[in-house]
Amino acid sequence: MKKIIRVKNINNYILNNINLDIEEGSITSIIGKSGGGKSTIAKILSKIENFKFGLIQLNYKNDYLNIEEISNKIFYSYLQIVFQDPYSSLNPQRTIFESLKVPCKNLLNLKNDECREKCTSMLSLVGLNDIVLDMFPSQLSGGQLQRINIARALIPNPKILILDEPLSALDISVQSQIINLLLELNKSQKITMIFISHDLHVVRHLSDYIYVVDTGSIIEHGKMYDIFHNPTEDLTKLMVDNYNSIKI
Amino acid sequence: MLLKIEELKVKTEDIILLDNIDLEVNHGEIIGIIGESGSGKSLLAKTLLALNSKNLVTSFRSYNYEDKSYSYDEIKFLRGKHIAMIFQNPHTALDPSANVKSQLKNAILLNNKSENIEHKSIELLNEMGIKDAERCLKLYPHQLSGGMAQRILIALMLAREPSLLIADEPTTALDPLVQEQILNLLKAIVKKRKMGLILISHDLRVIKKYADKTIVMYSSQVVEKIETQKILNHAKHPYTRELISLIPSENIKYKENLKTIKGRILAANEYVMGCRFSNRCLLVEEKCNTKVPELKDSTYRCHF
Repeated sequence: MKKIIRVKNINNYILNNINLDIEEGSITSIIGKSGGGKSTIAKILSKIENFKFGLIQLNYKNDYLNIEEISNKIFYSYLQIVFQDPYSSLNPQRTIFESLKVPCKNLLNLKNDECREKCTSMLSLVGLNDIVLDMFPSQLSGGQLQRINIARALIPNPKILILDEPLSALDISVQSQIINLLLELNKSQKITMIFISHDLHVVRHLSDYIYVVDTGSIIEHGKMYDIFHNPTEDLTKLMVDNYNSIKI
Repeated sequence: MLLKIEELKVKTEDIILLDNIDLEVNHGEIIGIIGESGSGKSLLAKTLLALNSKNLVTSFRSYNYEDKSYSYDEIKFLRGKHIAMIFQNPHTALDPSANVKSQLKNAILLNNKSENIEHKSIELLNEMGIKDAERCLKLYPHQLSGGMAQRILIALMLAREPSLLIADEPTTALDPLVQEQILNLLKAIVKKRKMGLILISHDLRVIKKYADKTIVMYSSQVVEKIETQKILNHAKHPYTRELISLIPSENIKYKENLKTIKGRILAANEYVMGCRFSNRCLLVEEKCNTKVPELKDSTYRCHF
């Protein structure tokens, strides 16, 4: 299977020698303790934070390009990120349409009426009606806002979606809706997903591969089944034991 | 009985936000409150400490704390010394400009001016499972991990020796290992000090593991009260049963679509004549849309 992202020996003030290979079309989860560096990896992969040493390459049109050499416009058409808190990810003073219009214009160069059409089709993809376009974030629930954030990320038709704890602020019913949506998008749109979470119930359900991060280093990685059934590192064993102890 | 509240109502001019809530907490008991966002869990927690904003009207038939009756305006005298609250994000609850020692000192002095502050601080931190307490006293909040900060916050709350603790989603921001440590710690303290604990969570797995009794809230109302050990097999309200069925079982196939509850929770300003769960209920019948169900046998609110 083709690698869509290759990360070699990344270091910064938190991370030590991070190496990652992300397969095209897969769902790869990054798990670990709070403060271990999971979100920093997400931010580095999405060019929000810098790294000191190492190499991050994207497979762009069958060529591996260093991410710092790719223009932001091309990069963010290729890779998008969804953050944890749906409420703080949208401007409270803008309608949903005004927020969604930004990537339509900046990344796709669409005109106003084309923007509305694009937004409507993206909202329908995440199971929302275009009525929400004229609403403000305060008028919508957490689940609806997280769907809108996913819709916004999907506007440039990205090949890679990074999801940094996208479910932890949501109720279990809404969590299930979003998990179903992610699985559907992975299947139908072949979007590669990097899923950051500390909820092993969700990780177990949707991941193909898992990386375990502790104090800035990757301590273990492998296929989902192997990590859950044959963990080798103490932290992974503890996390799996904890997962088994709180099953209903 | 530690706390007993009857017919608690919170409303704005025309919207009911908490509808006739009855709540009882005994010494040494953990009451779990579970429900969707917007069901009124956090508002209930704030109301118990009279922390509501002035545009809300709060009323109740009775508010008894350790067999003494209080009016809404008198509840503020219970804050901190008798009833303390732990919030979701410990880093925003701690003073970023003061070290642990100074914050603990202030809390201890509020309770007992004659106490040996240093000794009491170390004792409290040891009780929180912090081994290197003397070093910890010198740290500032930004130097603490999420789990450590939550332990310090709990120590601050316990410094005044309250008999009731309200924990509003105390571990949502923490990873499962730290979450388990904090909840185990809270449970041990509650049992040791014979305190009451109101544990608010949207995670049924947490409530199932730690609470003695569970209150299920839905759209401003209590829809079920049940002993937690009976919740899996004896829950009667359709919402509680749906909530249980949402937890993925061992039998769910890898990457298979998960079960969801159809529709959405009614916003507080959406008025219905009947049951507030009727738009999502699988058992709905005509009377559900026209008649408000009462809390049957004081345990569940459903016509069936």
